[in-house]
Amino acid sequence: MTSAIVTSGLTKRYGRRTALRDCTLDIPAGHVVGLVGPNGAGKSTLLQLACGLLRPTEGTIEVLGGPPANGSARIGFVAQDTPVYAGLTIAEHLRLGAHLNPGWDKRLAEQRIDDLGLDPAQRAGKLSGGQRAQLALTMAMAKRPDLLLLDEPVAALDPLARREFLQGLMEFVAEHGVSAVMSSHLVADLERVCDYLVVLAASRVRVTGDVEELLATHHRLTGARRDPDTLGPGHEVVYASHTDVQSTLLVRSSAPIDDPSWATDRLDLEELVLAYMTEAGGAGRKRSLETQR
Amino acid sequence: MIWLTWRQFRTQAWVAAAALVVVAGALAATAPGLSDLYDRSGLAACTTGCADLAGNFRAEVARTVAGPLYTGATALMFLLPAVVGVFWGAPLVARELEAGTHRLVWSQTVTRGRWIAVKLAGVGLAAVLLAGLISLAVTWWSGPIDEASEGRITPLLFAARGIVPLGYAAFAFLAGVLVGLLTRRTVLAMAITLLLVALVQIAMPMFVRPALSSPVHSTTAFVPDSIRELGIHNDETISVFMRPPVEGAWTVSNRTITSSGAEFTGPVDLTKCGPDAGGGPRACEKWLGTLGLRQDISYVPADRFWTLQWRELGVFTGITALLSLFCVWWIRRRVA
Amino acid sequence: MVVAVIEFHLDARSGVPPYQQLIRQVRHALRLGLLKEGDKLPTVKDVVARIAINPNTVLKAYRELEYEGLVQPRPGLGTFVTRTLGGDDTLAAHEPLRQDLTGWLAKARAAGLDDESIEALLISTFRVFSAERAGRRG
Repeated sequence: MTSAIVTSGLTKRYGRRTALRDCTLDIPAGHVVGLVGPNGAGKSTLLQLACGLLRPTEGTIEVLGGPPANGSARIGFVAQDTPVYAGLTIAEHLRLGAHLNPGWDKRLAEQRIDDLGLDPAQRAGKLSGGQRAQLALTMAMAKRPDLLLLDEPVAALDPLARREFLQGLMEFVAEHGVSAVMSSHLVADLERVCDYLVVLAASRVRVTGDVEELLATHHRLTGARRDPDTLGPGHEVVYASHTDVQSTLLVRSSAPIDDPSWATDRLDLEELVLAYMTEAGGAGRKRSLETQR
Repeated sequence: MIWLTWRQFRTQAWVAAAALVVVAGALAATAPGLSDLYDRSGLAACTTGCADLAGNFRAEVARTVAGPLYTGATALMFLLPAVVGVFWGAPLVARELEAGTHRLVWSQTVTRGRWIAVKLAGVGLAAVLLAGLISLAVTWWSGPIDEASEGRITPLLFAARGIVPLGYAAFAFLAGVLVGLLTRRTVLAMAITLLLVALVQIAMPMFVRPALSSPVHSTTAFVPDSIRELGIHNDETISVFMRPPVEGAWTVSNRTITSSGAEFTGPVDLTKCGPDAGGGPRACEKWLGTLGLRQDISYVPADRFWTLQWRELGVFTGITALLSLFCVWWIRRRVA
Repeated sequence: MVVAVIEFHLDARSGVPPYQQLIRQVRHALRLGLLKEGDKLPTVKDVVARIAINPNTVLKAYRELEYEGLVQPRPGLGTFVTRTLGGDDTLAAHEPLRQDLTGWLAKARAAGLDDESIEALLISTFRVFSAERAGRRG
């Protein structure tokens, strides 16, 4: 079993609203996978389908080689806004984990809480956002899962808390070799830690792949204004923008670009993601690519 | 899971325990005095025509602290299901859904079915136990006063005595859980549960209990002495309320009918009855006695008390079981 | 006790892939003599715990360094430096080149170029030179 999550035609509808539409993915195991897309794209829905909190309307999903089981010992989940029991102390949360998880690693949990400098007797309701996120992460880690699913875990955290969270997560991944799927609507969070990417926009999967491979095969071409079809086979135009005299194309290529009249640039991850998100959001709308730094 | 259920329920458990101690303490403290009064009233030896003795005893009781305590204890029994439903049932699932903590606890290695089953069983059992213990204490303590009153089988006392309160408590708890599960908001669920429980407490004796009780139906001759109350209205109609022929029974329906079978409403002879009549109430009663009326009564005798208690408990057990199954099913299939 | 001697850092905006940044930092440390033969590189776990990057990135960098013959993993103990980039490669050995460069810089200054122009000229020429050597158009 080398796939973390495999979906086929996965669709989730709430009444008339479609949260996820016809998604087909094969996310490999052993990676830290970034799930990126604008708010409402379906990232939370996909993660909740993967950990059994939701059932698909159509299509199939397989996680670690089997159907998503609710209450599985092999999948750890950190929900959005990292909910914790406000009335319970940190120690009681760990006790909850110990009682409800046969695979609970007590030593890991206590060590981590200690390393983070948290007071076990502190009520979880009094923790800061970053501390709560660390508690939720500790609970997901200490059940020793094979796959960690994290739903925008750092969205509401200040930069220091964000960095500390990712440090802890990476250390855990390095030590135990687990797979992780992390969603975010900020690419900057994911750039450092993810080596595989899934872009969701408007409820559909737009592009997936190994980050390095994606960066190697996507380029920005600038040149005199012309029809994108003149590029020839082996090039897929992700996004095209034209002025009166100039064309700017974002292409995905399986072959090298021989035409010397195009100037080629490599993209960074944020520009790549933005291109796919823009293409999803405004087919037909002419807008120039701007990266937001 | 059992530890977690206890930990989340801890505060409510201590409050319930404290309340139980207070109630039991108050009852225990006044029991000897009450027993004394009862012995001296002579009611124990009385077999028929005890109405006067009963009246005296009740008056004596009202002068002591046992009087208000009796009313309070009975009221407590009626409030108990609502309290259990609103404070134990409604928040059970609603609070988790509202805070999002269900996403935390359901990602542990526990299935949703097991999670809800343990919570329902744990807190449900506690609710039934609480109701049982308080009912035991109150029923035992109130024995003498109940005997001197209208009867335990009447609606004002029936649901506050015996084993039926367990059924109400269990039902109210499950109703609260279900409402919380469906509304996903704690405060709203508490309000709806309160209304629901109150409605059921009113509807039960009015509509369901008569069907459960198979009342005795009899038509007897009209006896003027048994008139309890007369109401004379401006439009020359009259309402006649009779005392039931059997003591301590629950009167389900009590009508004064004419020889043709219809309910007697008048017309009233104002010379015989009414404020302008000459002979007073006695003359009115005598006149009524000449009209060939009959008393059509349907009642449940006092010795049916325990049968009826078991039947009503059975109904609530059935409903509670159905609600539990629905809760488990709903959580497993529908909620995220 | 063998203690790791260097600390890595990541420049997220440099445009250079992260694993290559790590490789460069190791080579730079070797060149300056900060890392010597037998020194232990930080474990993957320690690196990612400090700079929050993907463990595969570190693994890739260490594999590349091993391929270049600079480091050697010892199972259970860590990754150790096997050879330095000292000796003939040290900057000190290239004193004649340094003097040539200083002379050129003096000429550039005399021609009226300011610091930025000199730097731009230097870098663009170097790039064209490297690209031509690599056989690609820049």
